[in-house]
Amino acid sequence: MSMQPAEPQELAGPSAQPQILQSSSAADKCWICLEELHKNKREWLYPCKCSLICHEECLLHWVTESERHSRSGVVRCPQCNMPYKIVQWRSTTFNMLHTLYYVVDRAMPFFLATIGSMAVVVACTAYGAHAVMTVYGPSEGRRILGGAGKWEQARWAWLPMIPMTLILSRFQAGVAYMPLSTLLMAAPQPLRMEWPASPSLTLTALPTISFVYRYLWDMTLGRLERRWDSALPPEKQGMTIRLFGRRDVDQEDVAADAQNDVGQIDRPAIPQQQQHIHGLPDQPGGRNIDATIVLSGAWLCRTLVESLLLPVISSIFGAMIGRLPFFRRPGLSHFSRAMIGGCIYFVVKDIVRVLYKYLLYRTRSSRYIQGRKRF
Amino acid sequence: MASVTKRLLKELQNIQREPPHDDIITLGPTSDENILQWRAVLRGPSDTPYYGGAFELRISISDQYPIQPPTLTFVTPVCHPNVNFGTGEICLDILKSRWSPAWTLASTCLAVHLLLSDPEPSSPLNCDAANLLRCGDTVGYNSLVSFYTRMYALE
Repeated sequence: MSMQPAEPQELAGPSAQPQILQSSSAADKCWICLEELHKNKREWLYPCKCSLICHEECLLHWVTESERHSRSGVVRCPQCNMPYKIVQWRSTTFNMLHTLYYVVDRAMPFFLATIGSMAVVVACTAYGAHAVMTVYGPSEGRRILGGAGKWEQARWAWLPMIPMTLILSRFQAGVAYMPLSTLLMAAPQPLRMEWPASPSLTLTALPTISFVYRYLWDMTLGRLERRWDSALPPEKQGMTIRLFGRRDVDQEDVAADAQNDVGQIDRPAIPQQQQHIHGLPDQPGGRNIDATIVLSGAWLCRTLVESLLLPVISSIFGAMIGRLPFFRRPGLSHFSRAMIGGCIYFVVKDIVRVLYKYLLYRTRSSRYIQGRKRF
Repeated sequence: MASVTKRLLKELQNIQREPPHDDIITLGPTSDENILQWRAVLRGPSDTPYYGGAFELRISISDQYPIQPPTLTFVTPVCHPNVNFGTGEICLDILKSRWSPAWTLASTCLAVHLLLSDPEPSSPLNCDAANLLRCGDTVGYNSLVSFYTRMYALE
């Protein structure tokens, strides 16, 4: 921000030259404290070839101060621009210590960042371990995690990945990485078509299941939901991000789209993923315009919390269906029940949301204001 | 007596003995009690749109002066590329990185006075004024500045 319009002398012109130059009696004054030559017995100095003279004490003070700000460490005479020659006692130990302190000070932010990211990794690992215990059940989970003493490197790699995968899988782009988590987690088990499905098979099949579910939803209840959404005014405007494409529509269309976008956000319909990118080809009635995302803080919070709570929610739903006779068969593992529970959670959530939308729509459309009618 | 007080008294004597410039109307401490607070009134340089205005500056001097530069801020609102219109902060190299004890308060005020006639739009604190200059709209710049001068700074 510091401005460098010109050299001070150049900028200021002859009339604004430092005081010393204007005054005829400049020759016998210290250019720093402006005291006269003969007034006291402090050491006098002719530090450069020009007419500026000063007290040694004053100049040392100035040199120390300027060294702190200048990068090169060279201090020059403000009038003749000659560098001052500074002689000082030199010690290798001092120089080494000085460099050491400098390096340590500079490196501190990096240390701090490293410690911070390690803390995040540790937190993610703890979360991952907890998620595995929740979803697989205590006995199977303990077998997968192994004892605390014999954790291999692979575990350190995939356990912290679990929360990241959970969050990423809520976004369109994250779905592509879903099978990756399977590879990381269930490496020892080969993929076999069997019933009840093995964990690796389930995780591999999840994107397909979610896609089919989304399609079916769009065909059935999704239609109704969109209709109610478009009848209601948009809830609140978030931040709009236009991802790609150009929009050649008039203002009315833009307003309508904004409404749809909000509706879109409030439609986290699909297990494991959420289609909040607007205008995809499979969008019924959607002109293939562009991808606009309306992000609101509330939506982001909801998604994050929901993704991270998903293992717990699934396991609770799994435990609930475990009480039904059909799901109590011995072949069905805790993991399978949790997965089915998770799917049921999403379906229930979607249905509850549609119910809410419907009730909201009915409430709004039944509204009128009491008063005498004129005619 | 602290060295800062000594030096400021010397500067004050010099100013009283030979006034620095016709366009510096007043320059001196605001009160007798505190010599570290000064006040200056600059006349707008002729042949600039600031002409006809009187601009008041607040000068705060740290007790490390002259090793540390004084802080100059405009009290009168000034429309200038290197002056913050709201706060009066001045962006001038000699008040920051290029300060040296050879400058006095009088010469610093003159430097600010020269900054009025010689703006530097490449490091702006007032983007609107700087943009007019940067795209070469001198007429627009001059009329904007003289509007603000008439509005806030008439003598």
